[in-house]
Amino acid sequence: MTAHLKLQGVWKRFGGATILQDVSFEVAAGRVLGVIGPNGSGKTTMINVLNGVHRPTKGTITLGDDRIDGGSAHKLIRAGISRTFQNPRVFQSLTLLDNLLMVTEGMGRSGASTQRAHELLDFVGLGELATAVASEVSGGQKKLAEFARALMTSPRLVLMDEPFAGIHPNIKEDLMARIRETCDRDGITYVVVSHEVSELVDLSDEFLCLAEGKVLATGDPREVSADPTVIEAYLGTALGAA
Amino acid sequence: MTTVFQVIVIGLLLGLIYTLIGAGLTIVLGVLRIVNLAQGILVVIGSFFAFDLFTQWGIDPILAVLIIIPVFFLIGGLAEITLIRRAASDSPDRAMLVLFGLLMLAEAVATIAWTTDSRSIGVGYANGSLTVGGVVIPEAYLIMAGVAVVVLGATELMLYRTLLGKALRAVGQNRQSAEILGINSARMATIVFGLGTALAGVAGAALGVLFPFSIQLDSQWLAYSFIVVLIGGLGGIRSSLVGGLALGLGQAICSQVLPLDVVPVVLYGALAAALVARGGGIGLARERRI
Ligand SMILES: Nc1ncnc2c1ncn2[C@@H]1O[C@H](COP(=O)(O)OP(=O)(O)O)[C@@H](O)[C@H]1O
Ligand SMILES: [Mg+2]
Repeated sequence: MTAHLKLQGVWKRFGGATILQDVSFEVAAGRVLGVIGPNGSGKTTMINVLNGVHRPTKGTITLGDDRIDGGSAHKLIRAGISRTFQNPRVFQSLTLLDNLLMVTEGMGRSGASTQRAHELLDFVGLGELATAVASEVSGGQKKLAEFARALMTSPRLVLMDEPFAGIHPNIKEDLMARIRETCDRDGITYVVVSHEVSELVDLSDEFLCLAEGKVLATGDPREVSADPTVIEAYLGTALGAA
Repeated sequence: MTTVFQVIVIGLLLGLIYTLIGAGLTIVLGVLRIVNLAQGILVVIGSFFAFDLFTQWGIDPILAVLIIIPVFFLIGGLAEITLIRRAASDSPDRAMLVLFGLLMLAEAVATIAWTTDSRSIGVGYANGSLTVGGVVIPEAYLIMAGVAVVVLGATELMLYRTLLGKALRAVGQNRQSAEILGINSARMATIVFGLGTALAGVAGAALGVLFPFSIQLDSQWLAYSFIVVLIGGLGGIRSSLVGGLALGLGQAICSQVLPLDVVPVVLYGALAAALVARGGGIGLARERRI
């Protein structure tokens, strides 16, 4: 059950548009890869390819000894890959507890699942809101619930798309601590996409910068975030947008 | 005053059975966005099935329900896998057209199998009754409403208390999200169709005990299921209960105060008005998610 993630020459095209170009990188088991890059650089698409929402046009992806490119989302979740979303996808009329439980449908005993769901809600600080209907909790709480849900299936790899966007600073620190804890304790591998470079530097073991669908730089978080080409990629879009 | 109670009791008991017809339609519509135009013919086939089980094997309709549920579940599930799924991947409207085709086919086959003659299921309790405080309660109504309550209660528990039910409701709320989160939505669609079909079959058995029936009743039962969903909205069993009881009461009251042949005119008139008022059809029945 190792969780070493490896992408080799991954491409993604939609019609005529090439969104990911020859993306290759590796993340060792139990490490956090921070992914940065300007808007539209393909970060969300990369996550969609990793969890089977989209099939890569070309390239291979392995997790431990398993080939995971081309698998559908419901197969990959069983292979130990789970995720959160840029805009939280919780089921509004279900309780937070049920939002966690639904992903384990068809995966075994419901008694054990309920126990685990309660533990995970406690773990992210939502224990008191277990029976609250999702439409009644805040955006930040939805993001925490999504994180707990991602852990429900005992994943090897967790993909997080903009987990810190729109959540309260206190919750942000908490969430970072929880991510770190599950890495160190359970050996879960993380790919975390974020705009908030300084937070991500603190959290990550390694960094990857995407620009226009290509890997611009990889390596130590501080070095990558100080890399002039990386800064230019950000400034370039900032100037372009201005 | 006794007459008033009499009408209310009959209306409510009947309403519980109408809830079954509407629940089948609501669940399929709520989870898959597909209007099951074959709902009425499935109810009629349920009646014939109960009739055959009773006349050929001596199986009481109460027990027949235990056979009808798995058999109809299989029929619905298989139809989803073989015929409906492909059309539904295009659009729910194409699936509806396929169901319309299946309705015509089922009608033709059922006519060969059972002819267009009217039948009734002559169970022992068909003509019995209890009298409570002057109100006469026909035994058959009481028994079949009891069957409806048990089946509806079990369905409600499945939808709200089991993992499967939670996953089904998640698919109803956002199929794409549910898929991305690992729910096998194709399997859910099969189960939902099986469930809707089973509910129609049970409704057919219950109605077959209360009223004489023939194949031509299918459009009436389809219309009734529309009325239940339009009144109750898309909210699962509880919404169907609102729609079903309202329809049962409405019908019982109309039957009391209006000439019998005018009753359907009023009910269908109300259906037509509701469809117009909802602006564009049953698919737009108030969006309360299942
Ligand atoms: N399903 C899709 N079909 C076509 N183009 C897409 C699709 N998904 C994303 N894109 C395009 O891919 C590019 C990268 O988008 P995205 O991965 O969301 O970037 P990021 O998350 O880095 O902001 C955008 O130009 C977007 O329009
Ligand atoms: Mg994005």
